[in-house]
Amino acid sequence: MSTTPVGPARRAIVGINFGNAYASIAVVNKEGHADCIANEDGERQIACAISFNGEEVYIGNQALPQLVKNSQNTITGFRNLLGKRCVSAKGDFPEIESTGESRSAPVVDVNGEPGYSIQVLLPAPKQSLPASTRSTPAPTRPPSPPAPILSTKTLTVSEATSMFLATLRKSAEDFLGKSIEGAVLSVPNYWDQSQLDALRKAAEDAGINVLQLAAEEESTPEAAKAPHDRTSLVVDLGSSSLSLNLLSIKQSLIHPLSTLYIPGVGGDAIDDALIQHFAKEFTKKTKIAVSLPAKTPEDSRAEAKLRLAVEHTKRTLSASAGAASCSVESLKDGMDFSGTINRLRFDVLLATLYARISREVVTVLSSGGVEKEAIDEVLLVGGSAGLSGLTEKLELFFGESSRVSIRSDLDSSQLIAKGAVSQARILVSLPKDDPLHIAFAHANEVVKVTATTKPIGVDFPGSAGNIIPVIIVPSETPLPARRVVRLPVATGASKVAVEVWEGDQSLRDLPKEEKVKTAESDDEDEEEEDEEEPLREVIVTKSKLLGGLLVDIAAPTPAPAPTKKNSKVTAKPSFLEIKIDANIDGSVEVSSRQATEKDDGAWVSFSVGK
Amino acid sequence: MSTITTLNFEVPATPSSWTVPLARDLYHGSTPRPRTLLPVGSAYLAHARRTIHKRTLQEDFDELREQQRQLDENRANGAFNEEDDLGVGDEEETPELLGRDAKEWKGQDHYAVLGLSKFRYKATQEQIKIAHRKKVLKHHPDKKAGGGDSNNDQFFKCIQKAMEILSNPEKRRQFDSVDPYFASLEDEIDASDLAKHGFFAAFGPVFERHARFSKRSPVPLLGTISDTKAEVEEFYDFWYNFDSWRSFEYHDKEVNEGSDRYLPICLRGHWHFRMTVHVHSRDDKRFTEKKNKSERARRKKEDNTRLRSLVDLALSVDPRIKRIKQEEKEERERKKNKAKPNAKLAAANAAKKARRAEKNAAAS
Repeated sequence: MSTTPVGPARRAIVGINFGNAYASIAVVNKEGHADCIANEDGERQIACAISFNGEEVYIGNQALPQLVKNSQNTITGFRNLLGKRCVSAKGDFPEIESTGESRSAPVVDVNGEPGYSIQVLLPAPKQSLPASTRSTPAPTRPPSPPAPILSTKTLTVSEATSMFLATLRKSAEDFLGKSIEGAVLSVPNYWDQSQLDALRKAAEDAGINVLQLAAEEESTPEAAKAPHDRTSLVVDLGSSSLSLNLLSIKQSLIHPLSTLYIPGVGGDAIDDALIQHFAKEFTKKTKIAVSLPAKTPEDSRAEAKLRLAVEHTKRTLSASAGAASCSVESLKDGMDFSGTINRLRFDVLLATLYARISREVVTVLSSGGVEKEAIDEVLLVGGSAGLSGLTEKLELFFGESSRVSIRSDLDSSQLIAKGAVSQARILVSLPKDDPLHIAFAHANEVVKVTATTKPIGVDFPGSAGNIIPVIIVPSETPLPARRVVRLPVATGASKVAVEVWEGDQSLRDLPKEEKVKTAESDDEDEEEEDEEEPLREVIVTKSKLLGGLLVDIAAPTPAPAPTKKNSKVTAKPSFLEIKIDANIDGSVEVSSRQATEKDDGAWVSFSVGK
Repeated sequence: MSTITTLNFEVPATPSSWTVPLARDLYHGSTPRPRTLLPVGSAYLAHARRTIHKRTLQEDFDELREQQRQLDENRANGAFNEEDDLGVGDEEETPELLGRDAKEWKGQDHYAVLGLSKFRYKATQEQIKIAHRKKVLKHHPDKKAGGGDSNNDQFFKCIQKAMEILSNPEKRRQFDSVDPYFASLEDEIDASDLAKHGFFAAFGPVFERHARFSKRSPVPLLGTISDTKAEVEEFYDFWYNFDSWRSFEYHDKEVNEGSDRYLPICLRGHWHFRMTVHVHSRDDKRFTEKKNKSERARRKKEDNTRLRSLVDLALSVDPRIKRIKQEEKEERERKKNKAKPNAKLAAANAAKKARRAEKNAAAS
């Protein structure tokens, strides 16, 4: 019932997906859709990197090449450190993956908070001309501009985040032409309060009015936008970690059934595998050893170069079928490297990774108590989720004839930002003092609901069998819920009876198709038979009868005599409407009537459980 | 928020042996279990609204329907300024308007073209912009529904021309000076109106209309019957010395930069009778300009005389003048009577004078 305001007064709102390696910004475009925008360099995925090179500061994709020669003063991956405290006296942080020093500047302890120590060139203080007491014969020439001073600067993670977010804000404002009214930032759903507070503070320091910190997984179904009831699995393969979320979406109300977070499985791990592969190829070609992880400075430079190049390789592999190349100029000892890899090889390289992902999917499904046949769709989210091998692996996992739709058509790196800006649009439409704002604060009371445990459906007497054919209120539906369905009625029926049942969800095997053996492929067939898994489907069996209704069906309007114009006129069938209201206390009210044009039929109803 | 899903399952006819199950055989629904929602999405907003205002689904649905109905009602009443309309609203164009040729833009009513005929000279630049945008959206040849007859963009050109004139303050002033709508109103004042409506009702709006042409401000308006002498004098003072910016350049004839003419000319001793020559008629130009100038002067003079005669008319029938004269007379009388201690004597003298005058009159 919520009408999205589509007025010319388009609000300046922004959705920011702030990841560990890349960030993206989304706004509402002229047609009213969420859209990712590119920054001044034309990048939609903006690298989360800051680099200080002498007097210059690079933020974003321009900072990445600095990792090669200037890695000591380059910062990446600071998002995961937000809100964390120093653990030991040495300044150890539990979250830093051992990605090696080639990645970024060393992390130091800055008043208990993680930070970076970098060297910059500060412009020297201006020297004033010495005032002479006597006029000198020669004109006083000012000395040559003083050399800038090398100094060490410490930058906390929070400050670095603010710097970065400020550039994002600026890009968005340049695009929109006005200043940002509010933004929704995406956060991982396993973050605790201290991390959320740190991000909120950093964003506000950057001049962003934070409307909500939405969990990444929450935003995505909003962007995927299908209104029907479904159970979704969100696979978020980011740079540093994998996040699996099993969500139940019932009439667009989302609640999680189970979640799983696996650090260490992500784009960075994929990069490592590719780097190893290419380094070996390089060594084979040029007989120059490149040992990884890098110990010597030349090796670390080589590794950094490879890492940057491999990023392009991955993107090419995701985008098109066939081979992708990886070329690095002067990888080591002045030797260039140019190699290719095709999809097959790539998938073989990542086989262990994919297998790990499959295993984790099994875990998350079982902890959610959902069979894989009961999943309706899979959303792929995150920079690394665009890999075709992942989609194929998941398709294999779910089975060929499964009804799961794996949404690889949606751009995985843009989904979160788009979801965030859709959320921002909803929030900004609320007046400032509206009591509804508390519903969006972290850990509020409004999110607590109860949900049905068993599906409720209807059956019709006269049909044999133990299965409920029409499910109206699925299980895991948040209460209170109302569902209305309309079913066509067989012609000639004057009275229709409806039985309302509560059921149990289970699986049953589908009948196997008979394989016709041909003379040629005898051997192959035998092998295949063994490996085939029985295909199954989800059914709901009758468990408890809730009640019944008898509805009169008025005779449908008789078919008009076929005239010259419309010789094929069939009578319009009548429709039966069934409405089920499931209430918070567990009671159920069922009403039914014949569907009429004007919606004015009288309901026949009963209720139980009150 | 009840979306009705239509499913494909066909409901069979009921066997006659079926009866509605008895209450005691029934089971109530299983206990629901607690869950946490994710606070995202418009559906969540609806849920939050219901929870916070403690409404059931039906109540919430009814509430929203009520709000929507209110909104529609307001919109119908015109009280609702949606989208910062500034009251521009939507004005349908008459068929004549739509059929106008853009070449005859001088004759068209620009305000009517933009849908501002109610506001006319009162329309602010903002309102003009809004009205222009609305009209463009409606009449742009590329956007026109039905394929778009992109050859028929005459009305669109009219809109553009109107916008051009009304956004330029100079040109707008010129157009306002000769606004045909007002010209028709100005001719309406006559004695019958006076008798019907009374002095103030008849002349008040006339002066208001003329007031906009004043260079000086504030402009004193007609006022009421109880104005003081000073105010009335100030009023007539101002209006007799009215400084108007009204000018009539709008009706200038086009100055032609020269034309191609058949002119018999003599070339090398031969007379050519069918030669076309481009004549830079400087004389023509000067002639047209002179004509324009004299036209402008004439109209301005006419305007001034009309205004003057209007003010004269007002002065002659102004009941306040009579009243003021009356008051002054009484003042003078009082003063005279005060100066003379013997009021009775004065009255007797006056009576004597009157009788003598009568005698004289009777005698002659």
